[in-house]
Amino acid sequence: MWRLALVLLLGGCAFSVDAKDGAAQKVLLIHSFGRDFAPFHLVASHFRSELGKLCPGTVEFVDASLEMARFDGVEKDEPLLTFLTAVFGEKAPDLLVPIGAPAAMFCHRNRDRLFSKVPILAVGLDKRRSVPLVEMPGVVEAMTDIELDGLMENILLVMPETKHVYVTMGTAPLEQFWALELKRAWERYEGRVEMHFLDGLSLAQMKSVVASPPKDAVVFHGIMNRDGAGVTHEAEEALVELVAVAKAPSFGYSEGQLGLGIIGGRLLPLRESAQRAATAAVRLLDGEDPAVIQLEAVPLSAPVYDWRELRRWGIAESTLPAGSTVNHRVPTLWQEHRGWVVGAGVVAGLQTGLIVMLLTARRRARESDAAFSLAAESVGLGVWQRDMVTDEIKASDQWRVLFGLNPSERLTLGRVLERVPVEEREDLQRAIEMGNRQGQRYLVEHQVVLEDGTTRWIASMGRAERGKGSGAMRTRGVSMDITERKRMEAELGQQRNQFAHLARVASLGELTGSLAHELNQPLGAILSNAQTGLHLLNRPVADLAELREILGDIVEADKRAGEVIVRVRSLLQAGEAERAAVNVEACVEEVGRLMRTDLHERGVELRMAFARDLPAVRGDLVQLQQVMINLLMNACEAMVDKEAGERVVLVTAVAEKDEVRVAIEDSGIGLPEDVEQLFRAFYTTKRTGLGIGLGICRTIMQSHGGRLWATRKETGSGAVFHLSLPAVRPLTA
Amino acid sequence: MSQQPIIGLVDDDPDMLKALRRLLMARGFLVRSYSSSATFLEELKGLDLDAVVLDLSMPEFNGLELQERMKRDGYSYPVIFLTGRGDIPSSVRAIKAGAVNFLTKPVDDRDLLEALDQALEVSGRLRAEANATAEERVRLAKLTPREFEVLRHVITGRLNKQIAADLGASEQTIKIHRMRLTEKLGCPSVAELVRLAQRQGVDAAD
Repeated sequence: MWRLALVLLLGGCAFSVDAKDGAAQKVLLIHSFGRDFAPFHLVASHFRSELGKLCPGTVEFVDASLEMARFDGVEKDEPLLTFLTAVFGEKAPDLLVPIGAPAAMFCHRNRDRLFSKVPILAVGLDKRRSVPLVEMPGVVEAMTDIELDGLMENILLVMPETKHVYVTMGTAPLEQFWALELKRAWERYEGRVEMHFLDGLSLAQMKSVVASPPKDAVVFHGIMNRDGAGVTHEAEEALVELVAVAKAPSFGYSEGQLGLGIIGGRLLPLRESAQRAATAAVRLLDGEDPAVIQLEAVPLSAPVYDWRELRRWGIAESTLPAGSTVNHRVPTLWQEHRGWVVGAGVVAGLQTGLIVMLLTARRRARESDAAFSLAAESVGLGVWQRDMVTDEIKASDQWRVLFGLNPSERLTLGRVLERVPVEEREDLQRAIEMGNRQGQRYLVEHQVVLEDGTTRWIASMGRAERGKGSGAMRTRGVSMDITERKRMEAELGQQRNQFAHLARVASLGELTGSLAHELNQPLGAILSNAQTGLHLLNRPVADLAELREILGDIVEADKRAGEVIVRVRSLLQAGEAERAAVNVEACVEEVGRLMRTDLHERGVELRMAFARDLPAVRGDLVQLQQVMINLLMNACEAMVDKEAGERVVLVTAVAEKDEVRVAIEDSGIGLPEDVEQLFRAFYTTKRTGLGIGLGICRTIMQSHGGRLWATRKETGSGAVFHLSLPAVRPLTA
Repeated sequence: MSQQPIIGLVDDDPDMLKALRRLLMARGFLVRSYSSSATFLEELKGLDLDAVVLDLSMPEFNGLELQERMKRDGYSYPVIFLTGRGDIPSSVRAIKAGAVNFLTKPVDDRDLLEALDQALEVSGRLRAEANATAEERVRLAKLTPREFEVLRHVITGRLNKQIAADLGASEQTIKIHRMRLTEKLGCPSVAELVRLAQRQGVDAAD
């Protein structure tokens, strides 16, 4: 029943002056779940490396595990005790290090029988989990202090709109303990957010839940070592799978989760707590009395966030708490075009992260290629290995699928290259050869043509390695499908052009109410007149004079409808901007006409006051009108809650120096604290609409050599938006 | 209907107003048309309308506000709304406030005429009810004070003997009063007397 893991590793200090008769000091690490379960696997590995660095002598680590994730409930301590005492025999270890509460409890239960004279350093414990072991003599504890409220506060700070929190948790006793603690601690947020604890579900079920969350939901990733179906998940495997499908922002509790798809926040500082524990371990190994060693509980870290996740979910860095660190910045072309490729960028970033993680994982467990392939396939990576002597390529099924190759067929480089379009083959082959010759890691991107004629883009990363003994070379690596990313890159340029057009359509969309009315008035008149005409014609004696008048009115109304269409068309045109002298007064008045109906319906009064002899400005009439429409619409929105008589927008224009200045003043709710945030792309306080308004407006003004800014109204509530445009003829001498 | 029905028409768009006015007149309606809701409201007092056709979106106050003000001032004319766009929230509000119909421009003449037929039916009913009430009031005024007092007792459901005791008169006298008031009001049964009293706000005796 017991699956025992015993691994001996040599620590970092090879030379020791202190070590008596040259013998290394032995540290017995007792894992709660196994060496590879979060978050303890990181605590253990950090502890190991820190102690290796700090200790003056040689340290040998011995790992034993309770395998709590796989086998709990039956506390069969006996075999493990027998095993450990047998292995160590006469020579007890110098220090016992239980990692996590289950291991600490194991030590407590068996203190008398398990090297009772040896000091214990309990790590990976939290203040909330009271373990009687820490009361015993000879025991030093390195605790953490996870403020559960802080975890929720962080979510609400970063995503204030949050209405639902999905909590993923496992079903092992430790996981259930934390699930209960969270439920209790977060009770006080009831009413503000709805909690959904997913513990008890299988990973697959959780994935389907987080893949289609309601609006304003986030996922909080707790410990997930064993899911509701009893399946175990090592390291942060479950997290990686969940964030890959989650359609909601992810949050977590531990440093080890950052970079894998969680947004961040104040996290459990695994490295720091391991460092503190390591300093205590050095003292204990040095023979210091455990009673005098006191360690303070380590609180959650300073807030730290993943840049890519912030981008992905549109979280401004200005909303993060003071003193925040932002990691994983990707200072590339993605940053420039983040608005458009944020989805693709994050996916690419995440995948790159996974490759690195997987390669690292592979190096660590070189002997378990099979496990690696399995992990790689779960994230869509194909794994390959090429024998340079036989030219044979061994590849995972996933990899064969990527290249459209038969699962059973024997592969050589030549066969694979047949899949690559002819014009790319030579370049690809050269790149591979160069990489192999230099023995460096290389990355190639190329297309593959499948049997049915479709093409896909593949990125392959490879590295040449020396084979054992023989000196022969082999290369190994991973490949992934980057078709989507390529497609997005291609669309990028196109989309930028469409963007300006979209802005026009959007501002027009806001006007549809007005336009429908403007158009339906003349159409209505035409229909009524025409039908009356028909009715009159049915009379025995038709009144020709009346009929002539009717037809005249129909013609007039039709012309009017035509004018509306012309106005709409000019607003919609996606052509190049035209620069001409624009009369500001006429421009504003035309906008007033366009918006007449909307203003009426919103009960907004539009007042205008223009200085005499206003000079003309140079610009694109339609674009300037769009800016005006946007600003007037915003003014209307801002005054929605005002009394009918108080909804007034005042538009003034004056000449100042070489500029014409237009001010649009409303009596609405005013401006936010940080006025500039209004002008950032995608900022919006409206529930509907694209929120592209003010950012685009400012860009348009700047392209006219003008400016757009906002100030608070001097008296009373309200905002003033100022436009300045260079005058066509200079006013000053 | 012997007389030509009179329609009030309000639309701030002069072309539309003219076209609708023309259409309605060609169909034999009398039309009072206004391009401003404020003017219409001012002149409402001197008008005796059968139905009102209102544009929904107008400056000053819009069709819905105009409808509210008319109701507040005691005008219960049936209203038909015309709107440049289908606006469900407004239409719901209008219908709840008693509008007969809500039509989208451009409006087909058949739809408008059908809506007007409906409106005239409503106004006809309202008129008939109003007439009946006025007639009853005249008849009620013909009762002597004593007969009126007896009526207040009769509608409590009391017997002649009880009424006689209450009023200190002989049963025979009460019988005569009762016969006369029944004749004057044209209501042979107690039930009808009770309904009439309710309509006209006659309080029953204690």
